[in-house]
Amino acid sequence: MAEVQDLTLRYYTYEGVVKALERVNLVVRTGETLGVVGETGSGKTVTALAIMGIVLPPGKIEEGSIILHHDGGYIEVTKARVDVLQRIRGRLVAMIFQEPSQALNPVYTIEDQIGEAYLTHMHGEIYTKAHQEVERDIERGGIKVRIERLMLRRLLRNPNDRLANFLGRLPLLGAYRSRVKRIVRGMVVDMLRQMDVPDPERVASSYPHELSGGMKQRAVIAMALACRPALLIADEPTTSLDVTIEAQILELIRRMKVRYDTTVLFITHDLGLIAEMADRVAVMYAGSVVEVADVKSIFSRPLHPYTQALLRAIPRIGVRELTPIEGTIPNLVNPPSGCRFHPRCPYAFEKCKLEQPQLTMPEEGRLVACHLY
Amino acid sequence: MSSILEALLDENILLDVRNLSKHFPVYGGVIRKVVAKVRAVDDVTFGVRKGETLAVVGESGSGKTTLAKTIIRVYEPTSGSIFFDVPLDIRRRLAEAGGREISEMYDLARFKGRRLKPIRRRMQMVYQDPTSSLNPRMLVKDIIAEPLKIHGLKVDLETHVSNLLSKVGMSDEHMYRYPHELSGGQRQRVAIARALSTNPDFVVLDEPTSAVDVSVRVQILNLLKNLQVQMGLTYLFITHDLNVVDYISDRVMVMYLGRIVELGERSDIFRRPAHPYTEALLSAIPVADPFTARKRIILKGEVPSPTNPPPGCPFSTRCPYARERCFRESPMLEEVRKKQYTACFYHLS
Repeated sequence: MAEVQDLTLRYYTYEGVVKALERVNLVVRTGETLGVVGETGSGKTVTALAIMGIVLPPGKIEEGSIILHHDGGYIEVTKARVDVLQRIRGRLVAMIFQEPSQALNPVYTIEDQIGEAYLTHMHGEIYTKAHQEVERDIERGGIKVRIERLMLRRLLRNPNDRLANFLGRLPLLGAYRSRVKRIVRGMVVDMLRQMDVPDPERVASSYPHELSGGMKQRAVIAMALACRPALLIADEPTTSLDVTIEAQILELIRRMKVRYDTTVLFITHDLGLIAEMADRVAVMYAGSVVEVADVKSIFSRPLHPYTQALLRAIPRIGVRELTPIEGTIPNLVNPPSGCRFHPRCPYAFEKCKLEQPQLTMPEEGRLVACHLY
Repeated sequence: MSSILEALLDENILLDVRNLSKHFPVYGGVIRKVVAKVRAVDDVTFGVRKGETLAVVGESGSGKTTLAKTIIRVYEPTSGSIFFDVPLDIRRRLAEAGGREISEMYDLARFKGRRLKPIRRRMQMVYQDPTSSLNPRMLVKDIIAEPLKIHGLKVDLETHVSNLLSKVGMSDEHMYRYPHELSGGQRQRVAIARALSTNPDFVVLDEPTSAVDVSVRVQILNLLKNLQVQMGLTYLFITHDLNVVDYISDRVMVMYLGRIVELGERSDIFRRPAHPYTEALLSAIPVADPFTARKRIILKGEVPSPTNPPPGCPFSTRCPYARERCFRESPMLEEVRKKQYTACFYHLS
């Protein structure tokens, strides 16, 4: 589905060059749920945003490529033009953000915000449907319906038609707009209903501040899934939610993945969520992928010293003895030389300080970036 | 079946909280009159034993932080009483004649102004996010020494601060740094050092590990455990992370909508929860173990608003086992097993 190769990304700030990503390699297979786990600053979100084609200044991709496959063709995201990226976002790749209250615009209703996704990517279908309705009404209707038909025909030919968009703002002539709006609203309400939103009609016409955190996150998920993306990126979708609401949202994502046959990239810092959701896992540390394996192997036999230490350090029910990872997460302006984990690694030797290890395959189906293997 | 009040009459109880409520008024209308009340903490009774860690668990809005802040008297309680380190024979006499006068003398909930100051020295709090709880314009040394100055503890500040820093696993070189120069874990260590500077007996820890990274989290938890043994501290540990609760606590108190729904020993709560909410909460935690399939209880709906709590049991609107009685009457906290208290008519034992 998606391939990230040797992606290196830096932020040029006043305090120095933040080496956010260093030769990141990641493959998302079609149909799977790939879990990406890492701590703050490990580069999980930056990688996800780069896949969406979002690299905000002062960030800059230094090298590497991101390739999205679909329908037999492929797109190179790092080299794609803005209009191509705009067509991809929401349609091919969509994202659920961590903080739903920040992902939603406070001055538009939920209906407007989800509807925007439909109008951007599926205007063809919407205008065709509106046109069919108009054809049915044309016998009974008078001049007003004829104008509506004319507008819709123009829009069908060119969705950015200037005349139609301008005249649509005038009273009487703009009747086609309310027809389109009604159709979009139907689609939005239908989508919200699939998200288990109680009273979807009311939620659709609400503003974000009127909704609870869980409800807002459902709206964000509805927005992401509105145009049936092939790849869904969920960036810590439950971090700001309570445990019981988290359980509801996870269940929802699992169900939607099956219904829409979506590939999921699930980003989290919580190994518990990884165990629940992922088929395969990529572990990131300080801007690099250090280990990739299927979920069971990661938990039963972690290879990379960081993964091993992490599994010994997370509080789990029934575990009485925990060993912390000594030291702190490195500063990415001045990262350690060689392997970025070496100052905290119990097995570090001379080579680790000098050379950054590459991902190698010590056995079938497992990748690890460590000089021990 | 005995009520929780009997359990409070014990030598080892350091903090004895009875029928404590904290309601916040909601103002509305042109004349800003009180139109509603937010029942943040509603009729809560429990005790904390000397030297133990009592974990308070609940979702956001369950009133855990309000409860803690009311106990350390950041907030004025609406009703109820708080006894901190009051000998058993005095607390026993409360129910007898003259109980009123005794409670005037010992009840923290009735203290005001200057009378609270000596108590504040003995009760401290560590907040959730060290970035906002530490003053960015103060040096680490001044942050840690501030409580000492306020309480007029005439000590050699420099050596005292240096001792505290080494206690929390930092060195003297950090003394003349500003909070922004420290990592998240180090900041939380400074916040802990500040809380310990007045040598308190009782420390409220309000989600001390939720703002630090996973790999640093255990460092902080182990530090807190060691300090507790070294200094004989009693902890009230507020969290929503049940994995952390299992690691650090001796007893667990589960709150829902401002009330205690279950209270008991850690092992009992985790092995045999008696309240349907505790059961659902435990089954909802993501477990880092892909090998065992678990049956999950997914609760419907959301926590109701504390402005307008449901009549009857607060959990009745989401409870999978709710029956007709639950919607009418509110259950009291009762002992269902030895030392395990549950507020449910149809508890799971």
